Amino acid sequence: MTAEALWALLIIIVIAIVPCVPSWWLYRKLESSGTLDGPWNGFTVKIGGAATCYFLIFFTLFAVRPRPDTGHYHTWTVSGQLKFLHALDEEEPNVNDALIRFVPPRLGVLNGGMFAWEIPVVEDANGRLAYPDLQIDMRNYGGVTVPLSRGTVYGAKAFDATFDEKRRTITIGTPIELNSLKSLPTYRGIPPAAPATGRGGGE
Amino acid sequence: MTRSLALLLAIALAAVSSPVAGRPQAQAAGRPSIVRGYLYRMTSQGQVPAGGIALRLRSPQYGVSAQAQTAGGSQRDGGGMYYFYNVQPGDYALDVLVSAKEIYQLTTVHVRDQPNEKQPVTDVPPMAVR
Repeated sequence: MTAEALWALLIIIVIAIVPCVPSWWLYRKLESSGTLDGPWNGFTVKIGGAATCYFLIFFTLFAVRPRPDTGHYHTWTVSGQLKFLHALDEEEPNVNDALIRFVPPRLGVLNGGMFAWEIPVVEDANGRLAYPDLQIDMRNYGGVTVPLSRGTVYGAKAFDATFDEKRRTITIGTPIELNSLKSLPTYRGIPPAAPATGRGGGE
Repeated sequence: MTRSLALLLAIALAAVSSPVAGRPQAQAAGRPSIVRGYLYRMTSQGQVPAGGIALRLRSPQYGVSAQAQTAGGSQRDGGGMYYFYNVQPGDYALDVLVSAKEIYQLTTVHVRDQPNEKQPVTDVPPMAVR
């Protein structure tokens, strides 16, 4: 049994026991004859005195009981090693070229470009949320970064986001536009993909 | 006394209505440009696009930009390319972010004002990375 399940069980036990105290007091000291009657889920309920007190308190506590905070992500660290198997005459690959994704969350895009992605947001020791940036790339389109952490800032396209910390939602009101490469002037800088000529540096 | 107050008020109003008042970091110097470039790695097979590399622009006037990442995939599909948007004319340092603490300046970028271009674009020459 997990700690969360034990905690839930403990809460139910407490909720069941606590109403006994005022109910017992009502029963023993006041000899109350108060009753509760009426329809409930298709049944006609008629209970009296201490039992009324018990159930009123029980259901009230049950309704306001603390619920476990589920459905959120925790940050874990997974460590290991990648090993690249290749023929002897092949060059050792550059490990920085490895691109890693993890699923879930599955970051898919629906028809019309709509999306709703569950993303991990780290909370620091002071409770501040550190939102990640979204990086959106598509073949033959210019990549776009959406800096959720900083809002609209130069270097990225302007966007309008509404943060709801209670519901844990970020609503981006403005469409995120990606420019096709054909809609932009041709980038002249890319040299032809020819075998290396020995020139290893940039400009 | 009244004239002095009126003069002070006029000066204050002029200062407030000035386009640069209170926003020294965000002066509208010209039309914002797209800044783009290409990063590659040298291998025995030649140049290959370097995908997944984080970059940023930095300037004393505008501070640090949003990060951009080079796209993955082949060169023909736009792999190795990075794009910064809404960059005002000026001089910038282009940094590579290896990690939060490892940041290297790759080059400097001059973004010139292009008032007549429909979509101003500034191309940074291709650069090799390790």
